Amino acid sequence: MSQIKLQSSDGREFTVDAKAAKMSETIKNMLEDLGGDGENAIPVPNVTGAILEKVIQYCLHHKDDVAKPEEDETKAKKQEDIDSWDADFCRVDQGTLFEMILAANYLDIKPMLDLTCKTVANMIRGKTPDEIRKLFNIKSDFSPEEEEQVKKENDWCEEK
Amino acid sequence: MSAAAGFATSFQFNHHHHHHHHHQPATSNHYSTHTPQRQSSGGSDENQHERAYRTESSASTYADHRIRNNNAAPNPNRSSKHSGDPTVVESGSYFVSNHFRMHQLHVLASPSDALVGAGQCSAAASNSTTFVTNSQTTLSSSTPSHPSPSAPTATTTLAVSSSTASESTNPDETCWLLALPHDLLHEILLILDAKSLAMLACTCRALRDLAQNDVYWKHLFRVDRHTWPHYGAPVPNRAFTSKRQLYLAYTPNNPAAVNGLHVTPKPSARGIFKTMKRAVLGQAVRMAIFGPGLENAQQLPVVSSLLFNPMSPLRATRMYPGIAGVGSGVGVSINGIVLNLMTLYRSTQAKRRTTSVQQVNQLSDGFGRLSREMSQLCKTVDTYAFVVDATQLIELSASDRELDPERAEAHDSYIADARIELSQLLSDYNVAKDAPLMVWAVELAPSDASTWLPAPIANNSNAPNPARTADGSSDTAPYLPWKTASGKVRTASAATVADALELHSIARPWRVFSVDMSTFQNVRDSVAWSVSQI
Repeated sequence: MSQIKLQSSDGREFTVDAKAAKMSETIKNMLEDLGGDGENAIPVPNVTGAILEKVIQYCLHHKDDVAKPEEDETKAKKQEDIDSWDADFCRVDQGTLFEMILAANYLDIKPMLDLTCKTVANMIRGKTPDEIRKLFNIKSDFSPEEEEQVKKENDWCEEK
Repeated sequence: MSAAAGFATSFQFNHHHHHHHHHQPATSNHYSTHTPQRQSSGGSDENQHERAYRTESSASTYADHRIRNNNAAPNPNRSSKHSGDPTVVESGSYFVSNHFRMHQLHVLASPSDALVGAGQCSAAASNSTTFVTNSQTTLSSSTPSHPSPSAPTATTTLAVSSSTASESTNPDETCWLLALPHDLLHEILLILDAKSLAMLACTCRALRDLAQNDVYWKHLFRVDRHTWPHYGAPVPNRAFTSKRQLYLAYTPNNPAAVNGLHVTPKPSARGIFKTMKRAVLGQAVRMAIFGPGLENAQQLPVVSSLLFNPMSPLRATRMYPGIAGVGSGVGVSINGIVLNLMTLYRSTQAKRRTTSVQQVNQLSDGFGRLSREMSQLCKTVDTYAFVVDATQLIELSASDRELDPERAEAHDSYIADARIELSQLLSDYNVAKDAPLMVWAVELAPSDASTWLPAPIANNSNAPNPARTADGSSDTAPYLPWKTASGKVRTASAATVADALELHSIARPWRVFSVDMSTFQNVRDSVAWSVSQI
């Protein structure tokens, strides 16, 4: 079985290379448990067509990747090591990006989850609190006292 | 088809319980452009409908997740919080009482959209149960095998069911970040650096509570301490109530941490008194420099470098006579502090084949103790500098050891010898118990000694030979464990050195400084710290 069918929550059906689809642990387990016959589409009820399309795009590009060895816990997770294809892949609007995170999590595609989370972390990095609020539409719910307190506690890093 | 139907049923777990509580975040378009790959972005109207539906269903997914995992309960205090503000329509929020405290989902509508937005909210709130469940069931059964990229059937259905709502949502007012389930937000925060985490904490209550969680600070401390140029014992008797406090006390980026470890601490009253007394009597601070880093002087003429390299912040001013033949030294000034620098070598000059102008002292009496002269000398020493080769103290992984067991063994014995030398000296009864110890983890610099060594010394046949010591000498084989990916020689961080030498068990004030012998970075700081601790 080299091709399998996936069906998104909004009824769109995708025919995907099995190896790519199996990057998703969720789909892989499902295929193993139920021995999918390749005829019937596997429903992916939590993911819409548009997002599933992105997921498939990712899996097709990365299906032949060699699994990375587990990262040393004491080493900093590097944020800068996103290659250009991955960076382009994540150049989507915020809504889509966050849904991609949810989909990668639901479908259990670890590298895609790492990539999308890194992308969000990079969006936060190097910004002031106001810039972060603006970027993510975070509404400050601090009282003036709290605001002062939290600023005081965290101004240590603004020097550098 | 039966298998597929089975899936469909099994995946519609509990979509029924809770939809009247929450609301979905709406689409946000301001962050970036649509990629060409998004085939579904055909007609904008259709697209919006589809997105509206999509967010509805994924919001239910978040909420499912939340409720199942967190025992979330609707928080009545919060939902009425913004009731006086006409621009804010908050249709639902949750207080989650697990260790990550709270997450909120809210929908905000702009003033012009307030009415429609409210309509949408209530419509969505009241309809969502049937809406999501129905459409999913309907779609998975009634529009099978439809590979069309824009899925016309699906979107048409949706367009009808959500027609009143979809256009009102202001795409720029959704907080996607806070709408994420806590475990995914956690994944993101784990990647953040300390500064970003601190900035994030300043944005709102939910993120403040989350970003101050010790999980992140514990992780950051473990990782970041290896990047700090100096590392030392915390101020005695200071208890840290959280890992975050610990981090803030240690990080050199925190100038406000008075009790912490940053350089240039305030000198104690006693220190000021001592310094004044010294100034009045015209005494120099007596600093003894020792350690295995001095022994392989052929590669690393540490003392010569300090005295003669034009980059060095030390300036030799005069010679000091020794006592009973040992302990003569050089008077140096650094930042206005006058030091009497004494070098305590362990081996003989011949053995070191060094060109140092320092008098050589035998540290040990051969019985694991300091020689008598040396011990006497230590009575007069104010502060100690222990020099180690940072390339010898790197942490070796199991695979590193496998790659070159012989060299790994050499590293181990280097560390063991260093520990012995250190404890031998510090445990001597003549060494003041509170004399501060600074450890210089020196980084091997390509030897350019011939350019700055005084001519008589440079002409000495024992002078460091640049050809032998520079990179690319006889030992050219690229040893992976000893070099970084970029080909640079691996050096141990200050924190690693502290661990390797077991400095945490030392009661006196101590601090490790990474010293690059070509730039002399940290030399100034370390001397300033040392003097402040006397």
